[in-house]
Amino acid sequence: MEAVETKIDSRFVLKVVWLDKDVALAVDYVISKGTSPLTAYYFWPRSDAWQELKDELDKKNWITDNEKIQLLNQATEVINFWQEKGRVTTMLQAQQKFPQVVFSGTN
Amino acid sequence: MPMVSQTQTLNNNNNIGFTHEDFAALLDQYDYHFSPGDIVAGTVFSMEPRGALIDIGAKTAAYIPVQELSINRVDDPKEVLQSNETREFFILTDENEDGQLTLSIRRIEYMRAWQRVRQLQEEDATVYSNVFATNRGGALVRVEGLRGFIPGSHISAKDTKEDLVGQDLPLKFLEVDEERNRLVLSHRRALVERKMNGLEVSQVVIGSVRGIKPYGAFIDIGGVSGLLHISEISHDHIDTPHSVFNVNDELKVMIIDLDAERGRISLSTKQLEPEPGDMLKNRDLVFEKAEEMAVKFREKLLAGDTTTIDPAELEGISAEEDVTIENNPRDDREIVSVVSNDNTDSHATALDEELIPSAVE
Repeated sequence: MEAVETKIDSRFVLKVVWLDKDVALAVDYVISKGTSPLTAYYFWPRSDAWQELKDELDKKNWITDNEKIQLLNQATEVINFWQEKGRVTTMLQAQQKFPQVVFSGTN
Repeated sequence: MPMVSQTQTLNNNNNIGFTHEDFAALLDQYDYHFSPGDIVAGTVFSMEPRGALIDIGAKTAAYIPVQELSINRVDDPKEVLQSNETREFFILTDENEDGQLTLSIRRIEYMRAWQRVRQLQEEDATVYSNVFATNRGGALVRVEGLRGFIPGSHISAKDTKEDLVGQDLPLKFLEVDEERNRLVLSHRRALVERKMNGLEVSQVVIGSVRGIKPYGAFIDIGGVSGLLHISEISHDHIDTPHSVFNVNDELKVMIIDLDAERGRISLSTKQLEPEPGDMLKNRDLVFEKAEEMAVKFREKLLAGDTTTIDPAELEGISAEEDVTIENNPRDDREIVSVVSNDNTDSHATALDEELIPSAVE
């Protein structure tokens, strides 16, 4: 379930922790030898994770707008899917739906 | 930015005006306040073969060497930085004799990594990580870029430790301590917790004997192991579990306690004996009547009869098993794949401090 199994060609990857009460989102920076943590985890719906993630990315002006939009759109999709199906979907099933996202943990 | 004691400097010079020398002195003072540990914004202005020069507003350009660019190995600085981009940098060391500061991104990433594992621990999340090495004490994994350690006593697998290398394991956090540079995880807790969702006290399950210790037998019940303490084998006195069981014996056991917090499952055959001592005299009869006896046990539990199990008997019992700890001092960085399969009786309740490698290399 680590990055190894996920095909990544962009500089960044969305990381997700699939919990019962929340879904946590973070962004990793991808280099050839691995990924490194770029942001903390933001928990939805405990807080406005999407906005927090956007604010954090906006602080980093070396990330292009296109890259930000791509990450935030993915975040939207993951949050929506969790809202609808979170309770009946395992992390493994969610991983299959979002192969480009790294699912790193669950309850 | 820390305050500079400008007022004092200016006051002293009130009578003679503000000279270039004063200005230079002020700059020096200001410059001095880039102290190690600060995080500053900087702009890449020159890419070098083994690093990059960064303008952080100091008199002299700061330098970030290639090994400080990431928590991962970087061969070419261009993998991480590009000319003219502005990033956050951690000030790693004070100015050298040329007035140059050394910067790091790696340190910022470590700080974030620790923050993340603390967040995950708070959620009591199960994370999946790949075992990249084993040593005498346990197995090593990478979690959020940090090096995590799974003590042997917290590995619940039929495979030998060596075979775990390359496997993804579900893990729970045991210890997250940035100050002491320690990240300790448990595979057993992750498995037991999952398994426990389908288990309940008074349930009879089929298991097989995995290991025998002077204080009891470890029974594998579908992938996780529980402890059948010597006092819970039979109503009759037993000198050693070896006299009752052999490794790989199949048997029926009843669950008498589930401790998710510590990842422990306590088992009993004593409570299944139709007549005291049947475990020693007629084991087949015990297993034949196991479900029947379990119903009686449950009725007693519901009736509030707590005398069936003396909780004191369970106190001080550690379910940690198969710990083979040698107290030889060893170099933490030297990762050796040593698997000891001998069933020594070293029964460690606490983790051996020396065997826990540091989370940040």
